[in-house]
Parts: sequence; C-alpha cells; structure tokens
Amino acid sequence: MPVWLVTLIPQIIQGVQAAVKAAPQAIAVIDDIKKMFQSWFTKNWITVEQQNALNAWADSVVAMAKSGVFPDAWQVQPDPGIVTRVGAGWNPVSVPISAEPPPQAPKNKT
Amino acid sequence: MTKKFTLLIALTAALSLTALTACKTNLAPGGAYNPSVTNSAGVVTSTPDIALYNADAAFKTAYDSLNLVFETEYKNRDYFWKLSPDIKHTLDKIRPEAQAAVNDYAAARTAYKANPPVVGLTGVNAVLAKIQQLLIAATSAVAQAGTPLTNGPPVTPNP
Repeated sequence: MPVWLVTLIPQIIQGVQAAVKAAPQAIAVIDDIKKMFQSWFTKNWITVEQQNALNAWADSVVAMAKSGVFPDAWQVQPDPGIVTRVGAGWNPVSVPISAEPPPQAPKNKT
Repeated sequence: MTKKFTLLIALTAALSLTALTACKTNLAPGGAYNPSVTNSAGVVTSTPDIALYNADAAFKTAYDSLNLVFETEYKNRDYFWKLSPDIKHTLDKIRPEAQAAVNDYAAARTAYKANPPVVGLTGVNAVLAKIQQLLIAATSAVAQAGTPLTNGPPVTPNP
C-alpha cells in the first residue's frame, strides 16, 4: 500500500466518524466508502453476471452442437453464379450458368 | 472495406490468442463457475473453476471472431467473389472443420463437467487450440486476397 495512502487513512477515519456524528445521511456515505474500498481489492474479480452470461453461452453452443444445426454462414454453399436445377430422376443438379452442354457421344455407324 | 475488416479480424484474433494469458484470476462467489454450497452446519464453501472460465472465454472469443469472418463473407459474397474466388473456396474448406471443432468442444466440455478431476481440461484446451488455428487460417484467406487499397482489383483479361 502506498505510503501517502497510509498517512491518509487516519484522516479518512476521522472524517468518517465526524460524518456519522453529524447526520444520519452519513451512513449512506460510509456505505459508499466501504464499496469503494471493496472495489479496490475486488476490481479483478469476475462478477456473477459475467460468469452466468458466459456459462449460458457455452450451454447454447453445446445445445447447437447436439442439434447439428449451424448458422447459414457456417454452411458450405454453391459458388456465386451457380444455379441448381432438377436433373434426371428428379435429383437436383448444380451446374454453372455458363456451362457448355456435355459433348454428344459419337453415333455408331452401322 | 476489406482492409478494415482484415484489421478488425486480426485484432480479434490477437485478443483471442492472448486471452488465456491476460485473464482475471478471481471469480466472485455465487457465479456459475464458483458456485457456493452451504452444508448442514451452515458453512458456505465455494469451488471456483477459473481454468474452465478462461477456456470458455477464450473459446467464445475465437468463435465470435470466426463467426464474424464467415458472416461477413456470407453477407458480401459477391464482393469477395470479385476480389478473389479463393476467399470463398478457402473458407469453404475451413467451415466443416470449424463445425467439427465446435462439436468437439461441446463434447469435451460436457465430459469435463461430468467429472472434472478425472477428465481434466486437456481435451478442451486441445480443441481451443484447433479453433484458434482455424481463425488464423480464415483471417489469412481474407488478408491474402488483396484489396483495391493495396494490390488493386483482380486483373481481367482483355475482351
């Protein structure tokens, strides 16, 4: 603890005692001072709200993994310019718009 | 746009990779990672799990960063396609691996919470390292494509 703070503590205590004697509203001031001192020692604490929020997020990720349903941006999708049309046997076929028709097999000459 | 996006992703990736080394060390009692238990004698005890908290926090950061890359490419697909088709192709290779990493993290975390002393956090940390590697790869895919501010637009052949 810094030396200047140590020398100030007695003065702070005297001021607090005077405030308590002066008016009941000083109790609220004392409470604020207590909270301030507490924050000095707990400023590195991870709050309950932070913990619960992170845990809730982790649980949601676990639920998503179990469901197997990921956001659309995480899915592999066709390249731009690719259309999907119904092919033979009503099976969807993805072909590029500019795709050339497949070469025709040479006919056997009889 | 891509330059700012790349810088944002790089910064987030750096924060994600340093999350484990720059973490707070105290968990407030009563939270999900430091539950308070009162025994029959009225004595309150807590069992903080700061290691799991740090792992979850780092995973969340990496997940959010990776999601940002995927979402931005998905919502601006035509723009990035004109920059370079390799951006989408590279991210399409990363997407299935990212899903697998999320599945593995869920399984490892569930196993750990069922029996922490026995299971340990080795599996969780391994998956965390994996998703951080995927984030670096995804960020590199966007950064290497170039922008009109650096390498200029892709060269188009003369008609």
